[in-house]
Amino acid sequence: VPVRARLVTATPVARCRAAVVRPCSAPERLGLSGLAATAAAFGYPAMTGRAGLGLPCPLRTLTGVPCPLCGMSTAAFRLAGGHVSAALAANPFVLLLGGLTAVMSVLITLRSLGLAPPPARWTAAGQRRARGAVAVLFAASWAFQLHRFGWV
Amino acid sequence: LTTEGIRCLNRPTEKNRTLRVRAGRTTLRRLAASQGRTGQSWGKQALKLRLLSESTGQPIGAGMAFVRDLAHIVDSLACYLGWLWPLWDAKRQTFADKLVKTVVTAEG
Repeated sequence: VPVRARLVTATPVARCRAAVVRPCSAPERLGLSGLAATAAAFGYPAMTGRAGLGLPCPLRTLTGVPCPLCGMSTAAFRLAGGHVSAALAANPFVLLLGGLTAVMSVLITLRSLGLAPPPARWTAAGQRRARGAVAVLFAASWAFQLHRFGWV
Repeated sequence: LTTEGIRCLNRPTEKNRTLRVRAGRTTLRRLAASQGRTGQSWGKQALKLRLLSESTGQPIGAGMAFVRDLAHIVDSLACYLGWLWPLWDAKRQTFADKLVKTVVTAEG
C-alpha cells in the first residue's frame, strides 16, 4: 500500500481503539510528552547532580534574541525542585504546560478505563480558536522573554 | 552506567569533548546508512517504525537520510518546536521530514 494511501486510510482514532493506552488526539500526545518532561525534570538532576539540562536556545546562541520557549527547561527543573517563584521567573508559562499535563493525564487514564468518551474531532472553528489561543500565548511568552533578557 | 560514571562523562574536559564529537560523527554516519537502506535506525527498529519516502513508500537511501539528519538543525532552530511538530501534524512530520518529503510510519 503506498504511504500516502496508508496515511489517509489509517484514521488515528480507529487505530487507537485497538490499543489499551494510545494517545489519539494532539492534546493527549502533548500531555504524554509533558509526563515524559516531568519525569526528566525530576529524574535528571537526581541522576546527574546537575541543576538542569543546560539546553542552549539555538536562536539566542546565534542572534542573542531569546525565543518564546526560552527558560522552559530551567523552569521545569526549578518547579520539580519545589522552587516555584524561581520557576516563574524563568518562564511562567511552565505552569500552563504543567496544568495541561495534569489534566490530560487524568483524561487519558479515564479514557483507557472506559470512563470517559474517546476524543472527538474538533470543528474547524474550534481548531482555529485553539490555534489563535496558542499564537497569543506564544506572543505573550516571547514578550516576557524579551523583557527578561533586556530587549524590551 | 553508574551515577558516578554519568558525572564523569559530563565533566567538560577536552578528552570528553573529543570523545563526544567522534562518537556523534560515527553514530550519525551509521544511522544515516542504516536508515537510508532499511528505513530503520536502532530506535525505529525497537519501536517498529520505518522512515520512508512520502511519494514512493520506499527507504530514501543513505545520502538523503544524511541530508534529513542535517535538516534536523531547522527543528532545533525554531525553539526545538520542529521536534514536537509530529505531535499535532496530520502526517506526523518534523520540519526535516517536510523538507526532504519523508514520513515515519508504523510497520504492519
